[in-house]
Amino acid sequence: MNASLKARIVCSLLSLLILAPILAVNAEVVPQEWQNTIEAYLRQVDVNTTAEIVIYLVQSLSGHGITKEGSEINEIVKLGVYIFNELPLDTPNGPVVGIGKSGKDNGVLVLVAMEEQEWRIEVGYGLEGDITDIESNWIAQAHLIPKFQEEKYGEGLYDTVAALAQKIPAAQDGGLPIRERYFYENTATAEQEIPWWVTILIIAIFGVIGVVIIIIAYLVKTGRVKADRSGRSYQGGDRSGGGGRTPSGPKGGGGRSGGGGSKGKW
Amino acid sequence: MILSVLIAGGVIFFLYYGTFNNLVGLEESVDEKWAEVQQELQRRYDLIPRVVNATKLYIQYEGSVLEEITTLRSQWATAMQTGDMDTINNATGEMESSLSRLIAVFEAYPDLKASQVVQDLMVTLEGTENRISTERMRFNEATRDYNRAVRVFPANMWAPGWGFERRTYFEAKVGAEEPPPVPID
Repeated sequence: MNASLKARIVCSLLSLLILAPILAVNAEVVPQEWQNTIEAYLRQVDVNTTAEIVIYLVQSLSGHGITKEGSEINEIVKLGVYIFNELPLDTPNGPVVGIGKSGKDNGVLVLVAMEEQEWRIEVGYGLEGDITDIESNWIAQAHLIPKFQEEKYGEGLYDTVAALAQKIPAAQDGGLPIRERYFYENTATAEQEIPWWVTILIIAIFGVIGVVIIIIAYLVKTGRVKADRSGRSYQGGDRSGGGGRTPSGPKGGGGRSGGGGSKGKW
Repeated sequence: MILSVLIAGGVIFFLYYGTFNNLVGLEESVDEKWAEVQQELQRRYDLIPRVVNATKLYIQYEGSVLEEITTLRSQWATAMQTGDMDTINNATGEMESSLSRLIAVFEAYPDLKASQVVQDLMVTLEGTENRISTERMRFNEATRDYNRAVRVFPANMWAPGWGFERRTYFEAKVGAEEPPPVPID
């Protein structure tokens, strides 16, 4: 390891140390323990019923960055339809489009917008008989709204999906591929105002890094420091291209919906 | 010489039939999506009498709204039978604006909102409106793709001869694009 690399590592660690508190501003709405509980529960539901219930939480209906034909979707029903049918939900195995199994259309999406205090339950075509619009509204009235009013978001979502899952009959055909992820939290908002001093700080840090690199380069050039070019290997280019549609291989997804379900405010 | 003529002929042949098959597929998709839209419109049509009956008792003073909705409902059914897109668009628009007036009436009557039956009906109505707008969006997207395919080269040379004509979008003329807001808090 040469001096240049060392200097760069020190610099990036330093900048990380300074930037860390700023990056942590967008904290999670649902505590990690609840997320884990919900994930585990919904995975079990997927195994037992083959139905896929996905929770998608946005901080706000504006600024979440989900766009269709170039413009952001700011209306909760349209956003729900889009997330359900067209948004590749990024799972560890790659992007998957469509909630619920392909052909069975047995997906449910629970979408909540924190700032606007709006909820939406979108039911896939295949479950419209098991979970009617009226029933989805009852479930939200009974479980989601009261808990959300107490700011118990994790518990509210868990109770809601549990009530929804109870409406879904057990599957006759087990062993279908399941999803990788059931809980999504999108904390991006429109007005992420960065204070002026942070901007100056970031510029200063990059300035320092630049100066250090120039000094080291000068030292290397004049022969005062020896560059070690042998042991370096850059592992670039191993990321797969984004925007891919459903790749092959066993995994859930592929279900469709058409605006069924209910919505409201808490 | 003969070979190049054969190759050129072959290319044109495949282009010709490829274009035809592509248009058939796209038109099929438009028709399929229109069937979905019709199904949801039928759902709304069936729902309206239930809404009218359930609310009649509560809003005697605003009976004219209910009468109007019933009239527009039957006019809409007649328009659907013509199969003409412009007629359907107009009738649908009028019915939708009338429905949103009914919803405004709901908001003005607290007894109405307190009734569980009415509240459930409102949720059903709202779900129906959401379904209509979703299927309408898909139909219009399919129509756009089809219209685009009909107009591009080389399809534009042959499409009129094959009977592929531009399709009209399904847009309610008078009413709003958005489903009427349903006042349930």
